[in-house]
Amino acid sequence: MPSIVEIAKKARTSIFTVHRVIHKIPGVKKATEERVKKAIKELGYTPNIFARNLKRGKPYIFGVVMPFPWQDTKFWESPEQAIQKAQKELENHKVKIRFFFYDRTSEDAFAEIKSQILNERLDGLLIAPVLIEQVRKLLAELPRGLPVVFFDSKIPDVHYLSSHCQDSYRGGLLSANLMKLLLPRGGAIAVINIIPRYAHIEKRIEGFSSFFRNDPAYTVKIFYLHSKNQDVESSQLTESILHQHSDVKGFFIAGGPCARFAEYLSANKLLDTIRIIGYDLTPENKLFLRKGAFDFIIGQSVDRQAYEGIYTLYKHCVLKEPVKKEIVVPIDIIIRENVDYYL
Amino acid sequence: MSSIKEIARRAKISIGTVDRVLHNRGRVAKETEERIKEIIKEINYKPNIFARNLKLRKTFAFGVLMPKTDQDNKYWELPLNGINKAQAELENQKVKVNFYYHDRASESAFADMAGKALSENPDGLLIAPTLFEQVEKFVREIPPFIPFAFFDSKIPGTNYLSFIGQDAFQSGFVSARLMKLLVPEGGTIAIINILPQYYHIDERIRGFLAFFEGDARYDLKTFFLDIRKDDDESDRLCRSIFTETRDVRGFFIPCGHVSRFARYIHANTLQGKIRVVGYDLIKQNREYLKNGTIDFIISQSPEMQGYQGIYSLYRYCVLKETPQKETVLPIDIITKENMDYF
Repeated sequence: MPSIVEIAKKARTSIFTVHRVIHKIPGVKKATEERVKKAIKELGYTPNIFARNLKRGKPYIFGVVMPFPWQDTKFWESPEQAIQKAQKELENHKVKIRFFFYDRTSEDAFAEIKSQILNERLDGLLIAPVLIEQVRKLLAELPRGLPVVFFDSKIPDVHYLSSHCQDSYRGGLLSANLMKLLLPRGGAIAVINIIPRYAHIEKRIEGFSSFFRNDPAYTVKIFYLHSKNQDVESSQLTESILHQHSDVKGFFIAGGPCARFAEYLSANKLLDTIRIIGYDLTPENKLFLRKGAFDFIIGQSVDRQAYEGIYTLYKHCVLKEPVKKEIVVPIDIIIRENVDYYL
Repeated sequence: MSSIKEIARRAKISIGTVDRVLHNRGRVAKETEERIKEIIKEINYKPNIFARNLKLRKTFAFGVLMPKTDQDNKYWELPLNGINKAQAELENQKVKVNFYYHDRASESAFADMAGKALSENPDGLLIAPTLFEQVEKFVREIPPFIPFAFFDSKIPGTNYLSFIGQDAFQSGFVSARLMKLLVPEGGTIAIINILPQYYHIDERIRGFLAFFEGDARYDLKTFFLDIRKDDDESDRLCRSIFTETRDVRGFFIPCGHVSRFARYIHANTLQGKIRVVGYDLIKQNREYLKNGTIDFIISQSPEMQGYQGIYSLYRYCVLKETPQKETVLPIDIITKENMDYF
C-alpha cells in the first residue's frame, strides 16, 4: 500500500496538499487536485483505518429497535442473541450497542421508546419495523443522515442504508413444492393465516397457494387464527378443521404458534396421516421438529439478518466501506436431521 | 473503555510500569504485577487494537493450501470466492493472502507446494486437507509459532487453531432422508464414489448407508468414478449402471460431479424417473437443479468456509483474540426454489 509520501512524490506536490485533497479541505488548485486524485487511483491508496480510528476517542453507538425477545413465541430471542454475539466480537473495535425493545402489540407504548431513542446520541440504528407506522414516525424525527438498517422486514419508501430481509413469496412457493413431495397423491391442505394480518405471512400464503392453483389433485383451504389467545384457539381451530374437513392431509402453518398445531396433531396420534410444514426455528418448533411432529420447518435466519445488520453498520460507520443496499437472506429447509446446525 | 492511565492511577504506579506488565517485558515487582493484573480484570481493560496495529506497521501474510480450482468440477472456486472476499475486506488491515494450489490427485505435488508455503515465512496457514496422510505429515512439521486452520475437512489429533467445515457423516444422513422422501416405494439407489478416494466423501456415504441400514426395501449399490479419466467416463459409468442394475430409482452423488450424471439422465429423458440428490452449488449443478433433473443439492456454505478461515487467522494473529476452535456449518438443503439465495 502506498503512503501519502509516495502519492505526493508522484503528483509532484507536498504531503500537505495530498492531505488536503484526501480530507476535502479547500484551498487546492483544480489542476493539482486532479493530479493527486490520479496518483491515488494509480497507486491504489486506501486510508489507514487504524490511524483514523485511533484519533477517535469515543465509541460508536448503534441502537437496536426490535420487539421484546419473548414475543411471538420467542421468535425474537435468536436475533437478540445474534446481536449480542456481534457486540462481543466488535467490543474491541469501539462499537457499543443499546437495545430499545418495544411491545409489538401496542402502538401507544412505542411513543415512549421513540423519545428514548431520540434522546440518545447514536451513530446508527438497526430496526425490525413490525409496527410500520410507528417506525415511520420515528424515522421522520431522526437526525438527518443517521444510517438506518432494517432487518426482518423493511419500509421500502423511506431513506435507509441497507435492508436484510427474506423473500416471503418464494418461501411459500418452496413450502408448496415440499408439501407436494410429502403428498405425492394429492389431497386437501389446510393453510393457517394469523389475525391481525402480517405482510410476511400473507406473502408466504400467496406463494403457497399460487403453486397449487392449477393442480386439480390438490385443494388449498385457508383458515384464520385470531391471536388473542393463540394457545387455546389453535387447538380449537385444528379440531374444527379436522371435524369439518376429514380429507385434510397436510397443514401449512405460515407463521405464528406453529408448535401448537404440531402438538395437537401429535397428541391425537394423527402424524401418520397428516403432514406438517411450519415456519421459523423458534425453541418450541425445534422441539416438535426433533420429536418428528413437523416434516419441514422453513427458516429465514432472522438471527443472521440481525447479526449481519450490525456488521453493515460497522462497515459503514467504522470502516467507511461501501455496503450493499438490499440483502436477501437464504430460505433454509430444516428437517430433524439438520436442525442441530441452525442456531 | 478504560485506559492505561486509569490502571496506573488505581495501582498508584507509573504508566510505564503498566505498559511493562501488559507487554510482558522488563522487570516489575511480583506484587505490583499482581495488583495491576487484578485491576485490569476489575475494570475490564481491553487493549486498543487500532493503536497496537498502527504501531506494528507489519503486514500479515497468510498462506492458503488448497487444490487447483479447475479440479472437482470447479468446486474449489466456491471457497476461493470466500477467501477473496475476506482478503478484500482485510486489505486495509495489513493482511495479505498467498495461494499455493496443488493437484488434488498428487501427493508429491502437495508436498512441493506445502514446502514452498512454509519457506515463505507465513504468519498463518489455511489448509484444505484433501490428502489425509500427506497433510497430517506436513502439519506436524509446521513450527509451533505458525498457526494453521483447516477448512473443508479436518485432521483430528493435530494442533490446529480452528476448523471451519461440515459434519460429513450427518450430511449423508440428511441426504438419505431426502432420498427416502423422493423414492418412498423403495428400489435401487446408485451411490457414486470417486477415485482417488477422499475420506470426507467416504464419510458422507457412510452417513447415507447408516440411514437405510435394516430397510430391506432399498438396495444400495456403490460405483466408482475415476476423476483422472476423461469427461466421458461418467457416461460410460452410467451406461454400465443401467445395463447391469435393474430398478434404479435414485442417484446419490456425494461429490461435485453431480452435473455429469445429471447430463446423462437429462439426455436420456430419465428426469423425474430417476431422482437425484447431490452436493455443492457449482454452476453446472445449478443448471440441472433449475431444469428439474437434480431434486436436492446439499451445500455446506463453501464461501463461508474460506471466508471464516481467513478471519480465524486474522483474529488470532492480528487482533490477538482466540477464535472459535470448531465451526460446524449448517447442512443446507437446496431446491430450485431457494437456490438463488445461496
